[in-house]
Amino acid sequence: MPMVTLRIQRFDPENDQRPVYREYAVNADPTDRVLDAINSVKWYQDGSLTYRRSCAHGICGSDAMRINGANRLACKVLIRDVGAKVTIEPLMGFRVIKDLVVDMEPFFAQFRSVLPYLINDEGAPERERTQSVHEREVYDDTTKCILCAACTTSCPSFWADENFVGPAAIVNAHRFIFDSRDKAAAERLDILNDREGVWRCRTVFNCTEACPREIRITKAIGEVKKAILSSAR
Amino acid sequence: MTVAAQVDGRGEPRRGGGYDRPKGRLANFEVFSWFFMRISGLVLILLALYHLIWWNLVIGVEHLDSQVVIERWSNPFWRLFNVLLVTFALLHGLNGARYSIEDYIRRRGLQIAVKTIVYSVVLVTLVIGVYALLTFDPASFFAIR
Ligand code: FES
Repeated sequence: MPMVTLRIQRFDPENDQRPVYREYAVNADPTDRVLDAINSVKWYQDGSLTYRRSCAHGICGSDAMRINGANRLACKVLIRDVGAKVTIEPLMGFRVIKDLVVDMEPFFAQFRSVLPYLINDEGAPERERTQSVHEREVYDDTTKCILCAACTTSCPSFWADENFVGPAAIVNAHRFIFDSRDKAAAERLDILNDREGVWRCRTVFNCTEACPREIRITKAIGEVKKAILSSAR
Repeated sequence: MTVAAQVDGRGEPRRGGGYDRPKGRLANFEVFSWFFMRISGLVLILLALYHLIWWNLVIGVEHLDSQVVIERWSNPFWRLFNVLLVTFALLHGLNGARYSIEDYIRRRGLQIAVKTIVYSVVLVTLVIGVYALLTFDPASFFAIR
């Protein structure tokens, strides 16, 4: 098995003043995932290495981190795609709790603020609320979000301004704004029609590039902007 | 002043939500400035491109003299063209500068100071530009020469 060097940003809040980089040499196949290499560091070299992961199949969104400078899910990136020397750092823009674990609470607070759930105060219909294929398609892309925060923490507007609602929250608002069964689109558009809402977006496309689910995030944000425009007229 | 951009009884207030959001008629200021950027950008591509091609390729900088300018200027259509060009260019640029200032300057007082300076410079330039375009007098121009 070829050797791969992992250069990992470490931070132990009890002993370190500032983050330090430590290097670890591990055996890894080209077809192994970066997560496998990190696991091998934790299991066989340094058990204090701290990071989040759960499903290991790109669906829980726990292990978003900066891999060679780009936000990726460690469980979706193969060693052969990152080379023999890999730099691994925590997501940018959040407080680092320990090593690769960041405080995601501000992110989830922004997410909750856009009412990311179905709102329909009309009485329950006799049968299910049906939807045409086309009606479902309108927001299909944004249903794929796994809340890994790769997009929001790749966004320069968010780096500069932690109050910016961020692409992930807008994606999740989009998912309900364009759902024909939902009745609170106007409320969500009102929440996002704000300098710290969609208007802080400068169309940089970092979010779209970062998304491990390949959601066309910038497009979704553009659709929300247009919806606000047409409701403002 | 901060207005909570939150609907009562639902969700939770967003951190920084409603940051300085103007009330009343200005509530949709950000929407319309975003829309303005799209429209003015499109208009500017046409105006500026034509301007560039005409002066540099069709006329050619080597043939560019006051006679050409005066001929052009005597047609009211070209005066209007130039008024539009200077207005859209300055306002589009001003709004872009406003975005950058709001993104990068986080301190309230400094932000207001920088905005005041930038707005004033643009306003003065715009007034001078439009004034010159509308009142330029070839006769007195040659008299001075
Ligand atoms: S561990 Fe679940 S997404 Fe990577």
